[in-house]
Amino acid sequence: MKRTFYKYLFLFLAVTALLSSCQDVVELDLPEGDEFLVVEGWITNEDRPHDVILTTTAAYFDDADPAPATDAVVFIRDDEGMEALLTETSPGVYTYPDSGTVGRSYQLEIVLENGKRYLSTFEELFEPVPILAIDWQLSEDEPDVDNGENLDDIYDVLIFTIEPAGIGDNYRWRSTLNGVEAREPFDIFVTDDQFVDGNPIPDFNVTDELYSQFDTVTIIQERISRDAREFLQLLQTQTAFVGGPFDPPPSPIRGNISNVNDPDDLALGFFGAAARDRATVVVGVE
Amino acid sequence: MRFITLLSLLIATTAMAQPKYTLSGYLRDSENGEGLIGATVYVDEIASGTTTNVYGFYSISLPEGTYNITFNYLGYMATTKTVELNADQTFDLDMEPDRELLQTVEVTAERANENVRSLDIGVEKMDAQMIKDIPQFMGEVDIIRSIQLLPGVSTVGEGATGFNVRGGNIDQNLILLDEATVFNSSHLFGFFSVFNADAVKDLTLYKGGIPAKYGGRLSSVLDVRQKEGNTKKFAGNAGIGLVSSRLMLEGPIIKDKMSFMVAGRRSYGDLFLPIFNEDFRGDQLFFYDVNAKLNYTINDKNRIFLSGYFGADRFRFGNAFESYWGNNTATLRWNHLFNPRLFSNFSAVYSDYEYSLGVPEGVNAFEWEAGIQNTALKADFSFFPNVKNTVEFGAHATFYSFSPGRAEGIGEQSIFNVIEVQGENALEAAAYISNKQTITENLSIEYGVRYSHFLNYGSRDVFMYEDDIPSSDLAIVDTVNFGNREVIADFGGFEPRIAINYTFSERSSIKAGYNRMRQYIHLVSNTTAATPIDIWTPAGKYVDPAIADQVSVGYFRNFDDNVYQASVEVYYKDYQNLLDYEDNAELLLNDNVETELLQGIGRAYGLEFQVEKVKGRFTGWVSYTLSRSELQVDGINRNDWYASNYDKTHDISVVAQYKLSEKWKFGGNFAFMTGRPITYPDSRYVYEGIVVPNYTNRNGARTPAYHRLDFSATLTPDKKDKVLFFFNRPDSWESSWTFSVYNAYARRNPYSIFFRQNEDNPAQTEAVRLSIFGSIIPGVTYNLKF
Repeated sequence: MKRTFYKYLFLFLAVTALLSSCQDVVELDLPEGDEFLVVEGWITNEDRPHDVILTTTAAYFDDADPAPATDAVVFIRDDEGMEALLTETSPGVYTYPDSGTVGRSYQLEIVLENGKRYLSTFEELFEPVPILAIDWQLSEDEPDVDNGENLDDIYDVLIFTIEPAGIGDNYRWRSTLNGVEAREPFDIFVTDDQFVDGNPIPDFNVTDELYSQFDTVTIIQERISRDAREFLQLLQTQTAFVGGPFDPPPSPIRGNISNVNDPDDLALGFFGAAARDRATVVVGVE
Repeated sequence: MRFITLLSLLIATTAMAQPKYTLSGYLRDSENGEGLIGATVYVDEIASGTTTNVYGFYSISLPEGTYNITFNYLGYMATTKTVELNADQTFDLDMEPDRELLQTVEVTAERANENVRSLDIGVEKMDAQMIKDIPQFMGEVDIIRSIQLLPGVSTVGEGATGFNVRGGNIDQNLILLDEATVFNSSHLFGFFSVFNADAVKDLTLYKGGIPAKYGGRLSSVLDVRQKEGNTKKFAGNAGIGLVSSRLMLEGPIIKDKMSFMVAGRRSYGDLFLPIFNEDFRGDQLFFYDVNAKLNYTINDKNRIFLSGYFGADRFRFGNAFESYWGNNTATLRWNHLFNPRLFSNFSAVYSDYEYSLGVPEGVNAFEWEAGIQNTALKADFSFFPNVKNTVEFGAHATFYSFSPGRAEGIGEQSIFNVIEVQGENALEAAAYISNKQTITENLSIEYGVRYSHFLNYGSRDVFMYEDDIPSSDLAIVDTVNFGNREVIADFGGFEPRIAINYTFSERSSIKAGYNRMRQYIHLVSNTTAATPIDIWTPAGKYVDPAIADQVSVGYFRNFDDNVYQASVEVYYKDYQNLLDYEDNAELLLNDNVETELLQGIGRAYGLEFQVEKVKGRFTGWVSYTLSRSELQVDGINRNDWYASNYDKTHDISVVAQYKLSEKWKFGGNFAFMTGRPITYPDSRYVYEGIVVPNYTNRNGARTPAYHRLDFSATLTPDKKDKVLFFFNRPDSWESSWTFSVYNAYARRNPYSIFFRQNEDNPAQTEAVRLSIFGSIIPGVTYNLKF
């Protein structure tokens, strides 16, 4: 609910600002800051290998792909004594071959080539909340031709789920369209259960995208920690909600990873535990 | 207590042994009966005098004798009267407006230099006519925009509500409309102000040297007085413009005794929306205000005023979004003259400020609303013991009820529960006393003290945190319930005020002032420009009140027989307990908003320079402000000092008016300001395919400079021209057309710079300048006065 609320608030504020306003790209000279480690990794209950991707920050206008952090020593451990070393399967990508176990908490430890040592917080892999049904229906909305949709995109994909009682749960939804995951800033959808605790949620549209007939859409419902939800919300605020006079102030996005020896050194990104359930539907087909 | 004994001793010693009699009365405009504020009453024999108060009342006590008294007010004909004072006497004067103002005016030299002689330091006064002559945005006369042209007053940008005074945030200005507090001074996010200039008589902005009778905000006081209502005849003003239309009617109900004033304004911008985009059809975007006043003179010792203001903004975007805010106030005032030396005013004010937004229909329908109600009682006294002293004292109490937010799903389909953030209740009380004293012919001082006290009380549940530090809601260890009216936190303190004027000659003086101000309620806002979801929060268990100390010194000099008035003022302000927010503060519907707030210190300092030409065909001013405003808060910007969001190094305004003839009048403004501080990214990284800017500084860079030129032309047709080309107009009616051009050279002033991925190539990042206005904005208004 907060996502739609913020989206509408943003839209409204953008509209009033846009009535006579304009945006132009400008050339700016920005000083280059210090280099920091960036961590991207999730441990889930799915039966497949899990990757942790390590890269470093670059100058703001440097358009090249991010530089990988190679030759690091990366461990994953859980709260019941398991500890495993991840193997670097490609530059900057460290793989853990197993799945996570529901109910355990996981921590990531990284020792870089230059000796810096980072630790994440323990992230609990909760009991996943199942998607009870997934369906498609003809949408009331019109396709947004200006934004990459075409006239055949006329269907919504909806799911049905029941939020377990007990305040303090956090969720994220991902979606894939014909095998490709939606990964733009506006596609991040996270929420807590403050407004819907314990309620059934029918006809839940988690993507706000329109699809056309024969599209294969997979929705992944993830149960995440509060820290993960706050991180993703802040990530979205800083990348999607920009460009209006009412933007929240820019701020560094603190994840859950810190340098053991130097608290002033930031490690960006997040290592999280996500309990998943997936559901797939082929749109427009009975 | 000691202070009061000292004060009475001082007054007693300056009093003469001879019997004293008092000359008192009201100075009014002869055409409409409005009391004249700040008119001077000058006694030749003692080379001193007094001024009228906000109700037009003056009182001067002199030893028995014969005196030549000159009554003077800029824009009116001066009058001299010889008075034989051998008993208390009342003398009321209806002053004639001076129509011959264009030519060199025979204004009595002694009082044309009011800016040099008065004790006002850091005070700006404007009357309604002056404001109407400044070229305006879309032809809408706007008080808040006009005061931004004064030195020391600025704004964050177009579309920003409120204004900043001497490096202070928008919530640090006490805005009063006939004694009622106004929480939001703008409609439509700062494009238009809530003040209908037709209803306004006078306004005074105190930037420094704030008198003891005002308190509760750190940086300034904007005291706006509405017209009382023409007691002599029925009259009015009407105007039709591109954005809004207005009508003001005033007149006597009982001639010279009871009068009314009603003014209304409504915008109709929403009718134009479909022109921009068909999707906007059926949407609403409008504001309205109504100002109403009734005044009744019961007898020569008692007068009653009842005034009200009702205004709102409404926005609706189909079924997708809806927003509303409204400010309603009602004030009842009673002027009572105990005796010719003791004037008093008692006010009771009720105000209700509420705002809401939401999604009107559908599965996601919800409504979020918040508001503040307050009831205030004030008693203010002015005591005029003798010509060298004017004592003001009084007490105020304001009861607040804050509703920080309630969200509810609408309709049976709604999947949302009700969330309500607990309300807060508070009492802000103050008592003050001050004296304006003429010590010698060259030296006068206004000194005083205000004591204010604030109580935050229940009933309310208050969270207790580990180590008593509200670091996060995970640190809550207990919840304590405070019963009805049980005190949760209380704060208080003294606020000394002093202003000194040393006059070198009739042409020049030096002034200095010091004041301490305390502020107990703060506007919690996470964005650069205030939004509808910003919340006023009272001081309480976890939020301390803020304190500001300001010192200012100025040199005032007039040239060429007071035609040119110049001043240079420097100020320094020291702040304690200023609020700022943690990174990623979650302020909406947060029951423990204290975990998101940080308090730190601040400082602001600057130099203001102004030259004004007040007489002649060509009038106007040039003002330049050089300033700095910064904060230091542990937890932000690595604990270093950082520029505040409204820090502007240079701020130049040039305002000019040229009256070519009876028919044509032209105006122009030029404004230049240094850009606004922004936070820029030091570096970037990629997370799940998204390019993320990384920020380690706060406000480390600036947008490019802002500058803008506006023009206006006012055409007042000859009497024989018809009204609106249609019908013959009665002789007493005056009409005029105002044409304005805002942003004459179409500059795209940067409101902000933001950073994003390129739409076509997501790996590429770019810096984008956002401007609110990118083109010339014309305006036309037709005004009618009858």
